[in-house]
Amino acid sequence: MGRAALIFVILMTTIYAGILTSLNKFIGGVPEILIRNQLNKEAENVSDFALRNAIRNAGSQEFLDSYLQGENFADELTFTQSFDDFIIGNCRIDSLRYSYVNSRSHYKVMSYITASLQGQEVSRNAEMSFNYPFLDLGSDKPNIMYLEMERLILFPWLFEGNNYLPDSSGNNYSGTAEGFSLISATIPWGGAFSRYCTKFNGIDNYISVAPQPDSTGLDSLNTDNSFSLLAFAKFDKKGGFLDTGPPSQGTLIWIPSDPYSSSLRYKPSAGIWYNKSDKKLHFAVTQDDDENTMLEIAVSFTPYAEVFYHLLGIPLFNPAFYEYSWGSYGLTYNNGVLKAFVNGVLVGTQVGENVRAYPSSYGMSIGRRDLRGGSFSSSDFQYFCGVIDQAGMHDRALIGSEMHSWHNGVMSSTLIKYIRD
Amino acid sequence: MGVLLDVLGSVIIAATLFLMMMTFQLQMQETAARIHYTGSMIDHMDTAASKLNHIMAMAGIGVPVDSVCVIADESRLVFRTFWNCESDTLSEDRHLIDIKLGDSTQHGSILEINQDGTLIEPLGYILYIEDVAFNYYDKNDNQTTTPANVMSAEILLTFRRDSPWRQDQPLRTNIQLKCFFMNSYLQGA
Repeated sequence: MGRAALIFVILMTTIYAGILTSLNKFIGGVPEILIRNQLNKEAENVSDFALRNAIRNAGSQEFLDSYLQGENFADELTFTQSFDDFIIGNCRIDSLRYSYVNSRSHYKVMSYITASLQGQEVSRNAEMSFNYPFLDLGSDKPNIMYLEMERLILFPWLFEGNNYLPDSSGNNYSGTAEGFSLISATIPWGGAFSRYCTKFNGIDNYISVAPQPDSTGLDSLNTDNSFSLLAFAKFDKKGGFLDTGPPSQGTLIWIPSDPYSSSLRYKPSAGIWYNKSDKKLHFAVTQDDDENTMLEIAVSFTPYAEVFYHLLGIPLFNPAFYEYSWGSYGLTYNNGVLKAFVNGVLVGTQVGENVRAYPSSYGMSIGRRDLRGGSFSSSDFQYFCGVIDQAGMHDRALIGSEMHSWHNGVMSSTLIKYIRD
Repeated sequence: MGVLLDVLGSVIIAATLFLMMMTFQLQMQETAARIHYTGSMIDHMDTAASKLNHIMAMAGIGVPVDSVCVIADESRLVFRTFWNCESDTLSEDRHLIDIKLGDSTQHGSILEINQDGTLIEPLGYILYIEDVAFNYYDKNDNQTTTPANVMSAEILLTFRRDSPWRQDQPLRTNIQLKCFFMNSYLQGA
């Protein structure tokens, strides 16, 4: 009887303990929800307060004098105000961040808040911009190959592989910066822009883009019936060390037709270059007809940028190169119709037979001609002297307005306002 | 015999007391479960509303005002922005944000938030949704169905979740909120 009573008590106690545990779980979860809700509300309010203060500071001369101490607003200037004990209720303002571009009226501010209570922690960030420069490329990016050069390549000679320029079209037509650069192969645009570009000394610098052959081994860059090419550049005024020597200036983009063939190596599938002798920009496409006709448009052009100066024959980079404006140089080809564009404006049209362009299977060369299978002098390669950026290829012939918006998309820095809270 | 009767009597009294306490505790357990359920649903709905409000506030950054909204259907909203909703930062690429009702699961349907065709992680889904309905308004707060004019959206969300104590009787809760394309307004709409 005593044992039965003991078993009964143990059984009842176990059931009771189970009920209590379950009860504790549910009751215990309720405060967590309430605390998290309370913290979120508090953090939201404190975040608003912090952001308002940051906006007021950003426009205050006293604040600028005190914290920025007379630093000028060239390029991007960022300042972070960090706090250890700025506590409001259960919230802590960790930091306020200020970014200015070019002017005290072009800025954005960011606030970083954390809130904690009874083991729960939430964080909240907010930001707001006023006339902040914003760069975009419009609606379409080049979809075959696009080298944006957005990579700082320091000491490319130091170790192998440190000269890689990614292809942001997603097709892996990455570029390799070739030739010697003592400190860096790429440099910032300067001014209001945060882009990088690649410099070419006119002696041995160029970018090679390896082919990605399809199953036929041809058309690795789709120089077929319809395509577009564009690159931004600043042509050096002198075009190389020897102003009176052979025309070293300069090839912008060169998609070889057949670099081994003596009859075709100077006729690219598609190419854009400046000839120092005739002082003209050349836009060319070689057609896949019986005679391999090269459609060519030549436009008068005078290089104006001082990108390099020379000391004892050594090209030294001019840090003030950014003062000279960028130009864009592009072509479109559509079933026998070649069009040339400078700064997004149509400058010439050439009509040939309605055939495709010569198939390309050798990749692309930026900054010099691609010549192979012979002995060539430096002047044969027509090295480019200056800086190049945003080189790309599209798989169709863009219309004039699209070429224009491509140019504007890169060059325009739109001022925008936005808030994220 | 007298001792046996005493023991039996005390066992009966103890069992009665135990049963009373257990009944009381069971009722408390159910009450706690109800509070927990209600609290967690309110929390879930609050989070869902904040999430939708935040995502839609970022519509139109860097985009011309009349090109922000692409699709304005009763159960789907697609808009453009240069805000990267995945990393929650300003982007140099334009993104397409798609808010739509996804497939039904054992926990109800999921309201999906996709960026350029990919579900945003970890913010891109809202659980326990049974139905969603969008109504759209222009900048003068007049109802519209023209995507180019959309400046705000009224969202009616129906949440459905199985009751913790009556599995066969799911509980439904409605929430109605109005989300503004705040950044489109900032850009001069």
